[in-house]
Amino acid sequence: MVDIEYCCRICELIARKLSSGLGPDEEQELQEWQEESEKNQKLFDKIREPNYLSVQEKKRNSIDVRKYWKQIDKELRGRTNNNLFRQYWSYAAVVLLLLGIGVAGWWMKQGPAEVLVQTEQIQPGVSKAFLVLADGKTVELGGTNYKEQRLDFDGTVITDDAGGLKYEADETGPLAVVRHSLVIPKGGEYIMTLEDGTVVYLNSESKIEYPVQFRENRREVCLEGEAYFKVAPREKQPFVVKTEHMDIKVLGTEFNVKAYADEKWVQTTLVQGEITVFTGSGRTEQKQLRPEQQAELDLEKGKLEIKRVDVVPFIAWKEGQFLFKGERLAEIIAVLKRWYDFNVVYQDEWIKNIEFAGKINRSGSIEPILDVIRSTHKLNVDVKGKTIVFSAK
Amino acid sequence: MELLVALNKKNYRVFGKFFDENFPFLVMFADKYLEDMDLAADVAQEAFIQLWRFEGEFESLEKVKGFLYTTARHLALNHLKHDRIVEEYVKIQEKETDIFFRDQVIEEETYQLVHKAVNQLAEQSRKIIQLSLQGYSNQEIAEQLHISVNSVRTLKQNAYKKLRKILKEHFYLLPVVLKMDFF
Repeated sequence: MVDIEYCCRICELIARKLSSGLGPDEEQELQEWQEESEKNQKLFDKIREPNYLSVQEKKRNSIDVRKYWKQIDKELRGRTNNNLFRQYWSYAAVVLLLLGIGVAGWWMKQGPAEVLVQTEQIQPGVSKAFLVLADGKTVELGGTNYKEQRLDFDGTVITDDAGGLKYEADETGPLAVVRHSLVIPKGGEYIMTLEDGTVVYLNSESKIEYPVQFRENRREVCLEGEAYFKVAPREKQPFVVKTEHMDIKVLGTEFNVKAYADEKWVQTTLVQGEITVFTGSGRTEQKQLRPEQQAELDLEKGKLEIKRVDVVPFIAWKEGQFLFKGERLAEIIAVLKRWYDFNVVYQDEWIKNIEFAGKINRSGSIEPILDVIRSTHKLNVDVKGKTIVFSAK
Repeated sequence: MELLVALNKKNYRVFGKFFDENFPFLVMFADKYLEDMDLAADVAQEAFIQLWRFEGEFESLEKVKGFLYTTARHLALNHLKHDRIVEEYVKIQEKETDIFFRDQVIEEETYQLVHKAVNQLAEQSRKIIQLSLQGYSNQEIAEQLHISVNSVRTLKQNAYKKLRKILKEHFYLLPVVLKMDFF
């Protein structure tokens, strides 16, 4: 914790040294402070450096206080909705969403024309999926030819509208279990409500298989890819998500499952409620999770680890955003690839390791993200049709 | 203290004056985080607006400044973390630390002290010190002010003596700002 009075004293000493000079005792005191730590010395040197000082002064003098006062005055007295601070504060997110530009867009100096030419072929994903019925027939959902429909297949009524695909509960339906699948291609996403009221958000390149009505003593679905579940509570009928390497048992709760076939790990992140994860060949290893915990199964090592996480980055996709908190370019691209549907080439291995952090709307163009990667001045980012090539400068 | 009472009572004219005196320093402070003067000015502006709209009373002037610095820091970091798309992660992490905050406050408060003191000098002396702070030599100052180099030297020396006196009295202005538990 910072000793306030001592800091005050230091400020006073430095101020006087800058302007009028210090007496010998005071010099000594200041000297001692500098020697205390490297940071102190650095700060002192910085403040004292004549060039730095004059640069600061000039910068400070360049501030047009009058201009800013006028703006504040208007804002405080005029009560105008004078969105001065538009893009910087929280309301900004809404505005940007409406404008359909990624948050990134504001910082890019490129004109819109350039954006189109380069990434015409690489577009953000949309809401689309394929419903596969019991007999294998496919129904296209969403996409550019979207229309609301009411389907009547296999004795069940399904509606498809702005809220996604919804299965109606039907107690009188056939007793035999009928299973459907929902397939989300690259560049797609979809929301579905199962007959028990469970809501499932599905990310690109995912597939979920499920019974049209839950008749057995467990509500079982099979997942490949990534989905966010809001499970409706049903005490006598636990909900189970089966993936190739991990099963998740739930009572009533919200969690995210990431089990892509092309990845070397499976991640289940619990937001609310309680779940139990089962791994291992006989599903004999089990661990219970509490909210804000994540179960990560490393497929190569066969190890299951439970850890506390900030859930936000893991569920950002369902809120329509990408959120990266210090991740390697390779991992970021792996995520972007599924949504934007493109191929990637890394000319050097080390490029994969550069770390980035940030947040962007999924509905926006990929170009601003590429621009930022370019702005690190270490990489060339070339877009050729549907392939992005990263090379060293 | 009159200034504090007036600010607490939301005296708009006094608030305006307070803004004039403190705005540039808050901008410089925000700029340390954002490295963009325009953005920094917007952040500083927003901090003052929040100050005006704050519905409590401040116990001391230091707490008022504490509010401004802490608000500006919060806004700047929010911006860095959420609105700027992709920055190298390490840079942001450093700026989030308390030490970084403390150092920037020390720097700006120190400068502000110097400025305030300098503003209390007689006009000629003030100009000399200001130019000197901007890096001009005695010769250059003499030329700009149309006086002899000797005059510059003498006036400077007297100014320094005065500054010493002034700064000794004013050190109490130094914030308890550095107390980060304001929020």
